[in-house]
Amino acid sequence: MRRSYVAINVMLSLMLLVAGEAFGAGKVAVIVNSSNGQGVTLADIKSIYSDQMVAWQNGNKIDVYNLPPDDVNREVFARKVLSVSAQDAAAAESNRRITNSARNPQEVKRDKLVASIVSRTPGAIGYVPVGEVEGKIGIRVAMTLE
Amino acid sequence: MRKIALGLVSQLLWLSPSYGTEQDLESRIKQLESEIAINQEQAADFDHRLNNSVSISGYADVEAIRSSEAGSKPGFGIHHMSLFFKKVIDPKWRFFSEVEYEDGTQIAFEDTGDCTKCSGAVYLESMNFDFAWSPELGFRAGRFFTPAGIWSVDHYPPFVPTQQIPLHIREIFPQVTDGAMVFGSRLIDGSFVNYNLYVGNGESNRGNEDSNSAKAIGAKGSVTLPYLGLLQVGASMYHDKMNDSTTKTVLGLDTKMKIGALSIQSEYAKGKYSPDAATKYDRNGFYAQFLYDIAKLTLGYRFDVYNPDTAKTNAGENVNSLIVNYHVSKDIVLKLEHHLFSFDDSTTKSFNKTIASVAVNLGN
Repeated sequence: MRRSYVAINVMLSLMLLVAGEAFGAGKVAVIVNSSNGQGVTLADIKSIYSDQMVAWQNGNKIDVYNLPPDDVNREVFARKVLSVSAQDAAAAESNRRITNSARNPQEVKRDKLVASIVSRTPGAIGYVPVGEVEGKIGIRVAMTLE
Repeated sequence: MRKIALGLVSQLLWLSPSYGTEQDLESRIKQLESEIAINQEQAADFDHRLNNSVSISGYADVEAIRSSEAGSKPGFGIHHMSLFFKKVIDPKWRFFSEVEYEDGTQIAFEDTGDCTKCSGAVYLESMNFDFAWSPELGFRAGRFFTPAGIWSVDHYPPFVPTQQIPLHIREIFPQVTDGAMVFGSRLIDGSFVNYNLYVGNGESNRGNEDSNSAKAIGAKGSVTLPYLGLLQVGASMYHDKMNDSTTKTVLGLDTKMKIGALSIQSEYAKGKYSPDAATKYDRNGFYAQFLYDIAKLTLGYRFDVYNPDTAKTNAGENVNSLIVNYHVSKDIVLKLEHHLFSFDDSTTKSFNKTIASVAVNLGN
């Protein structure tokens, strides 16, 4: 009886944990400024967020924006694009910074600010929940992830 | 009910003097516009100050060690406390430095010159200026971690799985180089090709002088291929004539890959040493490390072998390591590692070492 009670508790905790992780995660839009006509592939996005690709085809610097590591949408983005957890992706960026090997350091901002900055910055790329781009001027959705 | 509430609110707004006239509204809009302009100026000023400031970051780690090696006693250690100073001088120029306090540094100078209570060490681990001409071409001058293999650069405790470094790291390629480097990266057919070419004083000459006329040269090339989660292969070389006239030439190979939750990292280095008046010898080392991520846990195994002098018989040693890391957050990791050291020389007794540690990246 006691064993089943413990087992049920463990299962419920796991379910809550999984539900908690998934709560709030939805479609994520990878966005660039509307003046940026360059086609952006999944491989490009991976290269940009891995600090490999640092400039657009026209030679302009890419301003890279991330959501905070605890944001569920960053988890979706990191898993889909970089095949790692948000925490691992953030740790890799921290490692690049302290080894002085970050070629194009990334900025971390909240989603509303990311959408706003990308709409005003021609060389910017970011990702936000899809709801954040609806009706926004100055933004082009390069890709949607879910 | 809702209609009544809305009615009350509109009555209140109507009665409120500030919503009374169009003139009032215009005045409020002007006031808001002025406040926005002030806020924008303040934000610009704050931005300007931030851009002109030196950013400080760092890391620290503490550990408890227990070893069966003869003469060793279990104990705690304050291993590193490192501070990084960084400044983006302008979009193309950057400054970077690292000052490291190792082993709980305590320094005291007394008139007697007695420093028996002193301990630890302070290092200027790196100090350099970068000029980024383009993604394909950057320049770095000063002291920098020798771009050789993987661990030589990616070695900071919050981001490596063990406190114990692989045996051959820093023993074949030098840890740092004082000199100048060109580096860059280019996308070719979906693969990123990275390179570093450098010239330096050589490993026995650091700081403000070079004791011999010879200069060390080195290069590293790596390719990040568009396969798997990550697939990178690299090769490094280094050539130096040391102060004791020994000529040293090192070649290294490295690879790093990620397949789902599994990460594999391996490095090999072989150094050829040619002293002027002694027997030539080789020094070589290799490790292969396997890590598997399960949520915040990382489990791993590493096999590590090193021979400091192939001209001698039974000079080699190897280590088998079991690794457990728990990532509390992206900046905090708890590590538990167990290493079994074995020696080719049967007169040297094998021993084991267990290290429990906490490593923290201090961020900016």
